[in-house]
Amino acid sequence: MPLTERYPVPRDPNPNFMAGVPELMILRLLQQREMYGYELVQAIRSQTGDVVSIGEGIVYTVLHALEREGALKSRRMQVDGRSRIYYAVTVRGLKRYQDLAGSWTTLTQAIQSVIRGKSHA
Amino acid sequence: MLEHSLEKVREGLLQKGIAPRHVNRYVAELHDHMADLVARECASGLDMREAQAKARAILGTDAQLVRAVIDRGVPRSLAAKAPWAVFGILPVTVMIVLFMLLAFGSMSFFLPYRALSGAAIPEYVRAVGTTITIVGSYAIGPLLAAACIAIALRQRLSSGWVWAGLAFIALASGPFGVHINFVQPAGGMTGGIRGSVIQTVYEQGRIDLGTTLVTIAVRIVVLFALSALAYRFLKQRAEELPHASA
Repeated sequence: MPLTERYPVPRDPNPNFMAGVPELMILRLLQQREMYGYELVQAIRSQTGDVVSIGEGIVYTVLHALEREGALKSRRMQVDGRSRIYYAVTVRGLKRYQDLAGSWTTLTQAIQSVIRGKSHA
Repeated sequence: MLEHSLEKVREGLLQKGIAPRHVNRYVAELHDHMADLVARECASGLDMREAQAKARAILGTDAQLVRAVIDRGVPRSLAAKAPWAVFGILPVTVMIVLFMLLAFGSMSFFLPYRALSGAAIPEYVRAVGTTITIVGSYAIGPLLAAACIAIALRQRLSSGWVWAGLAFIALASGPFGVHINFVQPAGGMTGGIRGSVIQTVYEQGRIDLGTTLVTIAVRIVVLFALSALAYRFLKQRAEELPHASA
């Protein structure tokens, strides 16, 4: 049997299991409608019942990184006399969301099974 | 307060070499976000001063906001990544290209008039020749030096490459320049329109080597001294601004 089958490549370790969570939530929320940074932070807060909150100033670094990757696109719009940058998900962003959501679901199920004491054996 | 509260973040990012376009956008969005926070806090009953202080605190500290950008690997500016290219290679390359464009442009423009001399040369042709000589001999070097200084100040760069760039520009623009000469027929020599790309001083129709070398040396020293003084003065002024100590 080839070594690769006997010893499958392990999953990526999750040294910080919150890593990727801001991206996941941003990509999910922006599928509903375009939003600007402040709106996004408030939406995350309200939809998670204040359990998860992204640093108010930090959200833009996440948005800009996703935009550089092509997962988001932005456009400037005038709303109520103020110029705002609205973000929307791209096709690549949807794929990225599915990957992140899949990883997160697998991870939470694994953690839940440990918490509940279930065994895979 | 609102306008200046994020200037330390801007300075911190520029000093870390982050490209100015990324810095400007980040700070502009933070500014908008802070305005929304201030409006919310005011609506909840705080006075403007308190609302601004609270909004600034919610946004994150200067260090956190700078760190967040660095940790995300936001692109650094080319001048920060490769100062040798921006201040070393680029100005000299641009200078050579501009000299060539001016020289070839002049050749094609003056070709129909090259045998004319004296009053036979139309006035507008003389004006074009004088303009090309001024631009080609006295404007390109200083403009490139000014561009280098502007890039260095805008991106808060204090690299030795800035000084090197100013020296390269002075060295390259000292001996070179596009000259259009309207030569009068004299001493058996035919007149006409002549062009050259090297600074040369003529004495009775012949190149005066000594004066030419002195002229070139003076041009190099004057341009370097003026651009160095301007850079030093403007850099000092920028550093004295209250928000420059991020």
